[in-house]
Amino acid sequence: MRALALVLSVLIFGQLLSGCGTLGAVHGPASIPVTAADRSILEGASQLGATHEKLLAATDEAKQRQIRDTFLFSRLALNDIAFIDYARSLSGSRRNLDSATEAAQMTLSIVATLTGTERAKSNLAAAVAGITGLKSNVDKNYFDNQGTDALLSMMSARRKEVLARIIRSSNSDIHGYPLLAAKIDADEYYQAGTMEGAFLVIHADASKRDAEAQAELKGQQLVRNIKVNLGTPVQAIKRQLTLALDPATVTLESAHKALQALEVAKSDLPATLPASLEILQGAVRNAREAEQVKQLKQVFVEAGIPLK
Amino acid sequence: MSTYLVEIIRDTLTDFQERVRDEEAGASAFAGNRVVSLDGDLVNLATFTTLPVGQLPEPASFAEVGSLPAGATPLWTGVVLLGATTMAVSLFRQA
Repeated sequence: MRALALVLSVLIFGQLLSGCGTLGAVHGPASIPVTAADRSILEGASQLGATHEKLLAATDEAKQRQIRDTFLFSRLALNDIAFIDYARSLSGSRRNLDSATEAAQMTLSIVATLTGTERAKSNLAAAVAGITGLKSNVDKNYFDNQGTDALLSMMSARRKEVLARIIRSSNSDIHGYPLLAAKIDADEYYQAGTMEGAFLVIHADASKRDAEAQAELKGQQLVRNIKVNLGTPVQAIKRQLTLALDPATVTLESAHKALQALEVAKSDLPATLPASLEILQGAVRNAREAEQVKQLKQVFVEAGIPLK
Repeated sequence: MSTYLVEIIRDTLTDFQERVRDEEAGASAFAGNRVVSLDGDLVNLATFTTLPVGQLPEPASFAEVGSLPAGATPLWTGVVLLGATTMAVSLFRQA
């Protein structure tokens, strides 16, 4: 039984990871089909009440942990299966959304007709208007302006943030990561992949992240994207330049000479070696393109700073 | 020691890792990464901490969560944007 549960956990976890691999898979081949029997096993293992009872009956700590993990990974796997289908429908065509909205409108309108009271009719009419408004909001904010890929990428990022936390937490025993905490995390994982989450969490989070990023930029230096990496040989030179800034081997005179070559005015030269080395380290740090690193190496050599 | 932010746009984890190593070669250490919306685009915004003059960290290596080499200790786990997709990764360092 234990072996069976372990195999199940491994299978579920494998499916979980493959399902979360990349959103690129959305446009790729079909995912591994999930049979009704598989789904039944996953759904059975993801029931909170039954899992809680099993947990109370288990006295062995390893067994308790296994019960929790089977519950957790079953929930995550079911979420992944649903999310992949959902991502496909989102990325496939706007028609999916249109059809779903129209179906909901028709259903609600029919119910409104069949319901007797005026109060019920007005509530349902409001619900119809809400869905219609929601759809236009989706269209305007995401599908037209931002694009589905950006939305899905952010949803995927949020899900993986939660997943990374779950994987870390699941290393703990049942006391360090109890069943309730696992259930809450699984719920958050689900929420991160829903359109409701996109409205209530992801869009707000994207704005918050943007705002946070902008706030950070006001107080912190931002280095914009460098298109090309240095490459191994030049990266090695940059490391060599950093290691060369050793107060045991660099003199104040050679440091000043290097600084002057970097166009630091004589009147601005620091009086101490540590302060001079600090400025040179800044110059090395800011050399982010291969040509800059090579020029800096030349400056060091000509100033008499020994390279290590 | 102070911190600063580096925008990183790369298509592969190897290229992302090399960009981090380039930055660390100037006496800095990777402290974390977030996928953020910057000027309307989703990008990686990595935080680096400056190290004392002449100090280098052990080379940074990244691996997808679940694929960490045996014996490696994850020092940071988070999400990076690679091309149009995201990946949950861990940072580890080996001497």
